[in-house]
Amino acid sequence: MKIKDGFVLREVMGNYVAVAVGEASKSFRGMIKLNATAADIWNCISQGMDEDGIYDVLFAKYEVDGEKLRADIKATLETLEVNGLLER
Amino acid sequence: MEAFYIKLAELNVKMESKYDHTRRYCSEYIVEAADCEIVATTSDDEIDAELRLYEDPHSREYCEGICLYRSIAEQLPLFDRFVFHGAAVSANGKGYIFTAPSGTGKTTHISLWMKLFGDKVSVINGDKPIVRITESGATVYSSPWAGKEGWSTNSFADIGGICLIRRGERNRIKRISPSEYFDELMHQVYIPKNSEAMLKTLELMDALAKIVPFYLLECDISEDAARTSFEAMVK
Repeated sequence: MKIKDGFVLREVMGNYVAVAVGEASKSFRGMIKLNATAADIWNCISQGMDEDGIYDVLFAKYEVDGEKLRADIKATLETLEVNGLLER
Repeated sequence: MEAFYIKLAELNVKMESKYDHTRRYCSEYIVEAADCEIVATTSDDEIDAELRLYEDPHSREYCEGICLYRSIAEQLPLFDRFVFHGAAVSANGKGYIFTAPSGTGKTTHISLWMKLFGDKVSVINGDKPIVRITESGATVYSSPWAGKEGWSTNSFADIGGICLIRRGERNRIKRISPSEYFDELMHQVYIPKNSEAMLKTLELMDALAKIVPFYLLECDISEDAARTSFEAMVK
């Protein structure tokens, strides 16, 4: 899986936003706000990680319950995909 | 007609204008120059598209000016500046910007400041000032484009505060963290179509949020409201 070409993540005033640049900005104008976990997941995907890799990174960072974290990651990946930010 | 140059937020801008109206509109800002940082251009198609946006009739001349300012706004972020929708005044030497969706009462609020605090207060720009970020801080500059009242004086001031206005039953003001008002604040910033300038605008807003204090004013339209904001921000 990968972040759709032409989308980048920025931190602005304590918020994470995905915006389209270059060619992609012709069909998508505006900003999609991401929460901190989604931003972490985005960064993992950008580094080429799969779902297991993302899990390891977030588990180390947040020390949350394993099942809940897996569910959160799945839900976030779906949201990113539905919003046209993720290809898999 | 020949192009002319204006000085805007300390940049030279070449105005490729067809109409004398635009030159008159910019008269306070005209300078003699041989080179420039920004070239403002537009086209008949753009002006036609702009004309179609208005319900009540506007002149082509007026719309040319709007299109040229948009051309400038597209380029300003590359020079660490951006167009902000708000009413900017100076008070005791510092600049204050009131921002809110159109019709909330920004103009009324700054007119109350002028009425109540007289000599201490002067208008910088009533609608679309330019914010500049430097290493030492943030400065607000005027421009000829100043809304329907045309309140603008060719001036600038270091920003002392930025205040979101909301209508409320009581007059009260508080310091806010801009991160919690992200959507409202970003709506008041000109976001360029050009990707490089758009990303730069995000950086500049992020920097601005770290440099200047932000406030939320809930108010009615009264002198008490103006005293509330003045005492909190200026004194």
